[in-house]
Amino acid sequence: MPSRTQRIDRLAELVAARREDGEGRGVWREAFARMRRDPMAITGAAIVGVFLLVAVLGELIAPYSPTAQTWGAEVFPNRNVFVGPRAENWLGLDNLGRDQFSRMVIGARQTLLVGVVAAGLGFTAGALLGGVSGAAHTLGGRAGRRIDTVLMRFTDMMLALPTLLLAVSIAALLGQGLTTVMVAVGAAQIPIFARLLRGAMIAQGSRDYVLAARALGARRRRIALAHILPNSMGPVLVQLTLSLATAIIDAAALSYLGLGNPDPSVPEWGTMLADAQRFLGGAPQLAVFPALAIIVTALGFTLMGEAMRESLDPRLRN
Amino acid sequence: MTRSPLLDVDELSVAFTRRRRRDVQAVDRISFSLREGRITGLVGESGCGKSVTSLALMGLLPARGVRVGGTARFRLGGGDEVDLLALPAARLRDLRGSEIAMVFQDPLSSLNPVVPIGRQVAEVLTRHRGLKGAAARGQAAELLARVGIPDPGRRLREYPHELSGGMRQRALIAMAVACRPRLLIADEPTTALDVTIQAQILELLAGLVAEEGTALLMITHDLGVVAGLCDEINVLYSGRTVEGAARHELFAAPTHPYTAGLLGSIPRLDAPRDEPLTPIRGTVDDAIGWDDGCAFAPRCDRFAEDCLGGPPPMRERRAGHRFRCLHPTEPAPGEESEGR
Amino acid sequence: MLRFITRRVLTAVPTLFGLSVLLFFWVRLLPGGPEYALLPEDASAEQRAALRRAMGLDDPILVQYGRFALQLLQGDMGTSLQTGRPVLTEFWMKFPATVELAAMAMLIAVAVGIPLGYLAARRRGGALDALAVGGSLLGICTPVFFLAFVLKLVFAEQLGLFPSAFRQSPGIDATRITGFFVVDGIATREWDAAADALMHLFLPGLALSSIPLAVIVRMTRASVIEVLGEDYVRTAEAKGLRRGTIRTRHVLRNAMLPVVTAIGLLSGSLLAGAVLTESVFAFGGIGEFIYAATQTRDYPVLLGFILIIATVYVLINLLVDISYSLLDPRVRVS
Repeated sequence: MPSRTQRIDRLAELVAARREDGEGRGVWREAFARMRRDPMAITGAAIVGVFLLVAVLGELIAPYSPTAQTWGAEVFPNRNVFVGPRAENWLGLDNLGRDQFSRMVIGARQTLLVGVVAAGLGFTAGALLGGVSGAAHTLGGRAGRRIDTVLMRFTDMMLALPTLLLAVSIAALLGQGLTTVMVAVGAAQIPIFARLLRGAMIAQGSRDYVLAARALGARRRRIALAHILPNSMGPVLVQLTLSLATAIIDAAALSYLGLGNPDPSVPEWGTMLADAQRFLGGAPQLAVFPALAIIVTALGFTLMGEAMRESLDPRLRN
Repeated sequence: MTRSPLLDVDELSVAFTRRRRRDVQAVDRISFSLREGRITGLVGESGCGKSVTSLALMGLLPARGVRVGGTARFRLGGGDEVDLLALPAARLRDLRGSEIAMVFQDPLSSLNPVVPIGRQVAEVLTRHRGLKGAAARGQAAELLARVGIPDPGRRLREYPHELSGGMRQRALIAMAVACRPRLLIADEPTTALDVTIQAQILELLAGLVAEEGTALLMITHDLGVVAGLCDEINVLYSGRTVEGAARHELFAAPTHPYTAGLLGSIPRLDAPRDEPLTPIRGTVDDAIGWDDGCAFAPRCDRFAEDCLGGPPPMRERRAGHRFRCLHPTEPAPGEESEGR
Repeated sequence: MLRFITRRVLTAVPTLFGLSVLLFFWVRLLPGGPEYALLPEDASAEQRAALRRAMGLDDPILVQYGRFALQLLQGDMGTSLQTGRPVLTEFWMKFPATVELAAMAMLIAVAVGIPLGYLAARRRGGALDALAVGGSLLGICTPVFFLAFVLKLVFAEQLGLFPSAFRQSPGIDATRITGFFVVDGIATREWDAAADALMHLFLPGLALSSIPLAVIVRMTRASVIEVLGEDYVRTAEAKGLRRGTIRTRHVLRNAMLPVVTAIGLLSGSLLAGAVLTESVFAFGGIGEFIYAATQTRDYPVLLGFILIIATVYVLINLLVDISYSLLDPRVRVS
């Protein structure tokens, strides 16, 4: 006859077998676990991974130099004949006799740079603006709320312009160039990040744990940095991923508008696409390859961002 | 005059299927019946399957990922009987709101926020009784008055967020009884309300039942509600009925340890001040599967080895008092017999 | 209600004021300074000096701003460097084209996007859902000007189904009243002119609609999914209402609220996208003119058009806010 201890052990086993494992291991780990099984996230991550790999390995993959007009002799005499993909040049030649494939590969790095700098600029400045505003509103009392109002008024003004036009007006001040494009596109993202982080922080500010921390006398700076901020970062990080995608596309648009880098030797997908527009009738591949590359890469980041958003959304969990 | 029951639920089971995981058996072969003019209670903690039961009867469970078993024979107005669980969706849609109706728990979220109350009541009348326009509005105002909402004419044009919690619940009840259904299911109708309003709503429901001869299925976790209102009570635990009896019987002789535990954990005005409450230890999650034994065993003070030998059968003490336990509190000597 | 409207209008005023201040400083930061940026290249030194005096660039900042604001309110935004006409005149001449284009784009986006988003939400996890989500992600990730070029190349030049440029075919003799070609054609019963204008609107409208369409599909889908899980939909089902009634009165009436707000915000992206699309189709609207202005550094036009667009955008969002309060009774109380 089993003892009471053994009976209780048996009970415990049965209870444990019934319970589901993995209870609340933290928001981020749960989200990550969910993303690992999400086909959208996997596809996105795969695309981004390939993109990063190509950007980093650059010269190791490119068979030729992206700037040398090695086949110039072939191309210049007859401007109407464009050399398409062939054994020697996998993606053909561009209108100046350069190897498209090499240009595309090296261009990945420039494009990545543009995206990262622009999105990073928007994120940093925007998060700073929004973070200060949100913290002031939540913890700063009446004076804090006034600061918040002023800062948000300023943000609203920037938001009153469609993103592209905001970028154009900033670019007009800075003159042509890749840096201009990066700064303009990045600056246009600032109000988005600012509003997002501020909103998230204010939502956190009325939560019980903040009230509890204040009641316990914790210093406001600590509350803001150690408690509110980490819990507000979710939507901001999602936006960062999405901003990477839109930055690349907006940069291409600015190049199309003639505000980009006038020096066509340094390849960047957006500039390549803009330059190739005039050849679309005769040589669509000059535009199609950079366009596809931009679309696929932007898609990759967007898929990841969307997957992140869904996995962090408490309502979609079941 | 024992007519056949209005609703006879036999071995109802509901399982939720999930990918790559075990099915969740929310309701595990429960049986009960409802008669006209009687109020039957379904009592249990959250997660015991009582809400799922009501949704299954109404046909409101999602189509995918759910497996329903058993029968629920319902006697229609003309005398025919249908199995609610086997009806085609269109037919069930005709019955809902006219023969069978339901009142839900949270009145604010259960009302459409952008449509005026009057319209939400009238649309039931339009759908099932063909009333339109002024006729529908007029009858809607009458219904609102009947459930105790003052100044019903004005309320018709108001939106849910403009009403108090109690009035919203009254409005929901008005929508439910608009077409004089023969079966009314109330799922925790007072849980979201203040205590004083609770009493009023329960009185209202009791009154409507008495006037119309409706059968009411009252679902709740609150034994206080049940004590004041229900004629008979079924106690659910982990998807199965563990005790079922008429009201006086149940409170006079709670047989299953769970029922006894529920009663023991209610603070009472007539108990000595410093007498401690005796809560049931553990939580609903501390359960085992019924196939392995009594699901309540981990939380039970009377648990013995044979409790782990498979599901305890339902037995009966006295007519109409069923219980599912091998070691019940106070079995009356000589009154046990094998039951369902 | 009136108080609500006045309050909302009043919050728009500081935004517009702030914008004018920003643009005021913007003009003074242009490369070379305003006397170079705002005058044609061949302007003489005296003309530049005259401009400096006229703008009072040595006066205190507040005085300068006052002059600037006064000019704006009087409608004087300078003269286009490309055409020599007043900036405001250029705007009036060109904005009907862009409005028609934006209207066509929004029409396509709404007429296709809302039903598609609804169906995707109803049949969640199905093939249509995947198509809708995938398609909309693709729409956001495709550069608009590239799409415009491809559409023009394939459907206008190769297949010849649609005209490839301008707003009206050269052969059509149409009477102009408002500048809105489709409206004019209908008003004067010149049906061929109206139909021709519509044909010219379709391809650029389609290109311009790609982003709004994508956004509307996703927003509608997300909103419908959320509403379908709400308790009041369950109540409607419990009442035995017909599926059509539930769809219109209970699901859509609630699901459309955030979509309506989004449409207001999308008008901004339409104005921006117009810049990229009109140039491809030589459409002759504001967008094409801004494109030309960025190429030729026509700063007065940039300044004026951006200010006007921003004002319009603020006003549109104001309208959306107010109409939202008409749709959602919960908002009116606050």
